[in-house]
Amino acid sequence: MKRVFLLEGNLLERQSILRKIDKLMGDCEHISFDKGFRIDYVVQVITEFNCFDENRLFIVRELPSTKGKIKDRTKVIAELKKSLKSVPSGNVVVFNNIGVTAKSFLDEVGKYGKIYLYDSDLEVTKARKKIIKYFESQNKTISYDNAGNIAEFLASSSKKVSIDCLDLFLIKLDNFLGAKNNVSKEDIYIVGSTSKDFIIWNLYTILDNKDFCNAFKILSDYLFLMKDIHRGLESILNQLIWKYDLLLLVKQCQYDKVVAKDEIAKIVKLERSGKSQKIRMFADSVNAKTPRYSSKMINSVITGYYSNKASISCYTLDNLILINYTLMKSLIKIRAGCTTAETKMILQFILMVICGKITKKKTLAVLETKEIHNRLKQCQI
Amino acid sequence: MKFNINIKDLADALKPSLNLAVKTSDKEFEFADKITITAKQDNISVCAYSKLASIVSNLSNKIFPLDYECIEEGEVTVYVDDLVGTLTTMPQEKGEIKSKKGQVIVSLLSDEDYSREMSVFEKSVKVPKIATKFIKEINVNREVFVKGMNSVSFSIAYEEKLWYYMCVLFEAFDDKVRFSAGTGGQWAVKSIEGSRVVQTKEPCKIIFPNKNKNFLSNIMKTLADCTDEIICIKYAEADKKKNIPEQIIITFEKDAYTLCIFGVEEYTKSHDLDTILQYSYPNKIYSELESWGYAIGGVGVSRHRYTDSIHNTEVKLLSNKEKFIVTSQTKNKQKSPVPLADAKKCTIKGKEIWFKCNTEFLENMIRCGAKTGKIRMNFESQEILANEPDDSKKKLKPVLVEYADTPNASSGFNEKFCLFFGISTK
Repeated sequence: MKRVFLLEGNLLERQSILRKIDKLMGDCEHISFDKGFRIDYVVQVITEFNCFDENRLFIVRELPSTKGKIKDRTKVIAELKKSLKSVPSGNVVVFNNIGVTAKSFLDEVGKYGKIYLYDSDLEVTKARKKIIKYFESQNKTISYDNAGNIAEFLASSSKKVSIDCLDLFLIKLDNFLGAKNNVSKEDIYIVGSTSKDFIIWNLYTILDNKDFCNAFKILSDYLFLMKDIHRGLESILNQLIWKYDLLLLVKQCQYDKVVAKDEIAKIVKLERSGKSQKIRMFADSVNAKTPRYSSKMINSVITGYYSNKASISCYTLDNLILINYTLMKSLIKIRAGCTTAETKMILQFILMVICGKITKKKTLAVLETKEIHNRLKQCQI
Repeated sequence: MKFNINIKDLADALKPSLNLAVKTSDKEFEFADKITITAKQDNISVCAYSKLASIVSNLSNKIFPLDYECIEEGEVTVYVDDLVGTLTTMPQEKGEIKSKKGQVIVSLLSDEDYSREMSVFEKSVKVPKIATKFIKEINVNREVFVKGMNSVSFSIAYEEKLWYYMCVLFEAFDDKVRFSAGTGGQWAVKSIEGSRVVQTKEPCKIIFPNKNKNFLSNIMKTLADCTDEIICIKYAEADKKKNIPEQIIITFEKDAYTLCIFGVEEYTKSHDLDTILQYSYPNKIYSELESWGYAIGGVGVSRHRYTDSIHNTEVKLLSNKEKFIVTSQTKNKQKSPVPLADAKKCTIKGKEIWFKCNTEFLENMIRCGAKTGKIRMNFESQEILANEPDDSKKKLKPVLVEYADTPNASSGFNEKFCLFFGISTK
């Protein structure tokens, strides 16, 4: 049996290899190392024979540390590399997702052992196929659109889906379903409602459908789990502002008969520095060259995605101006400081405006008054 | 509650509770540093519990010179260090201890101006149920037990992630007890033989957990101070129906103290030491412990400079078989000779005789066993691995260091100590 193994990639495949190694080792002593262990200790132990003829399985879960305060990753890797040829019979060392894939290290591991490199991300389309296949293997069904929704929200702003996140979500969803053999949109909402990415991604669709009750429920559930409700809502508002800014831009482009996609793609993401009153936004760093809205996002609001209708068709220009004004004013109010009760009322108010449950006149009356608290109370459904 | 008592003798009698409740306790634990005193007509009962162990003391005039007189029965819970501190800083006369309006007041009968108050806690110290049925029961000589446990304590693992090595294995045979502790890489074994060392119906093993670094050493301090010749060690399995946890019980000072050690259930596996102690090693080489002092001292010099690298030492027998050459495996080689002793008694097989090991093990060899005298090193030469293929399954036995027996003429006991440690391939 090989004495050194290196496993990188997604959890399930790594676990399956670990189980096989463990089975091959038989009854053995398990010793696990993380960054709390010193490199000299780790090297000493893995290169020592066991006193009692027992096999020993060493699992290195994180790179061990050096004595000094400064982490000397290069030194740690070099020490580990040097020690591999001295791992004696009966000892097996497994580097389990330590994040070292440097060629020189892999070459050294390859000399004395075996390397298992697995993917940790999947493209959205492949993720969707995996979701459908997973439920097929469980004798359950999920629609193409629902599978796509899961893949999209797990990918969030990136283009790829973390396999670990996907696997865990599928296990969670499957456990939630129990004996039920069809995955509905509601099931996905319930299981995913503690994830911020999921909330935001689905909230857009719910708000486009003007479904005030569902929007309020899903956000209330999420904020209830937050330690700091103000920060939670502030973060959600920033995401909504990002989305409704885009819608306003697209709508304006349509009015001006300009190709929205080309114009909006020119807007770059701004870098932020400083804090309090010294916040500066600038566009001259490397990060700022990335566009604020991806072409995929722009497309999705103009043409819709999967079975969802195009967001832009759900609002008039007037609506969007009012929504954006409400979002900005509410954000200022929250940042200026308000009680938890007020925060909840502001949330309710914003959702009412977006879903068209309150007239423009009343909205402006609430936003312009100084006694916002009393006004908000009058507006409640 | 109100009673009169000799101040000094009460302070002495509370020391086992102090040792347990204060020195071995997790400070976050609700009963940390506290004792509950229950004054009854004939005796005082004191309970302390540190999560790892509990101690129940029954203090009466029959065993201790307390001159105890109960005036009013009752119960109070106080900080034990406050109470013992108060008692030891008062004139050593007869005093009065009473509880009044949420306070315990300690005063002298001869001078009422000596009046010390301390706060009382509402919640009493509750100790887990003490077992009444035992599956192992050993009577062991107290001094032998304390000595044996202390001899191997340096070898107990202290790294919490290797918790399964944080213990001492106590084995009782006919007329012999054996103590062993190891960190995985190194083990220390102490055996004491004699006709009155131990009484047990059948050979048995008990594992003493040492989850807190000073836990066992504090218990041994308490046992070292007591006056019994024999102490009784009992082991009881858990009884879930009666809510009794698995426990080791030690009763001492004429049964006045009952010490219960908990958390025993996690330690189920013990190693078979005889596979090493009785192994027929090809090389059995004698040397004087004193001559190792210079060699290991020299090797140790090179330790402090490169603290992030492993520190191994090579021990090689010269071809004329007259001495070992001890060389540190560091950048600056520290080389020293160690002459053999009793060359005729030595058994040497093969031409190239050497091994490499962690320097710390050799340092323990000269520091933690006897300070002088002969030692016998038993080992397999690492040379046998030289021609083995890379995927060889050949394993090497640890290096076994046996110290000379130390017979005690007055007690009639014979003590044996040995160390063994794994060899290193780097």
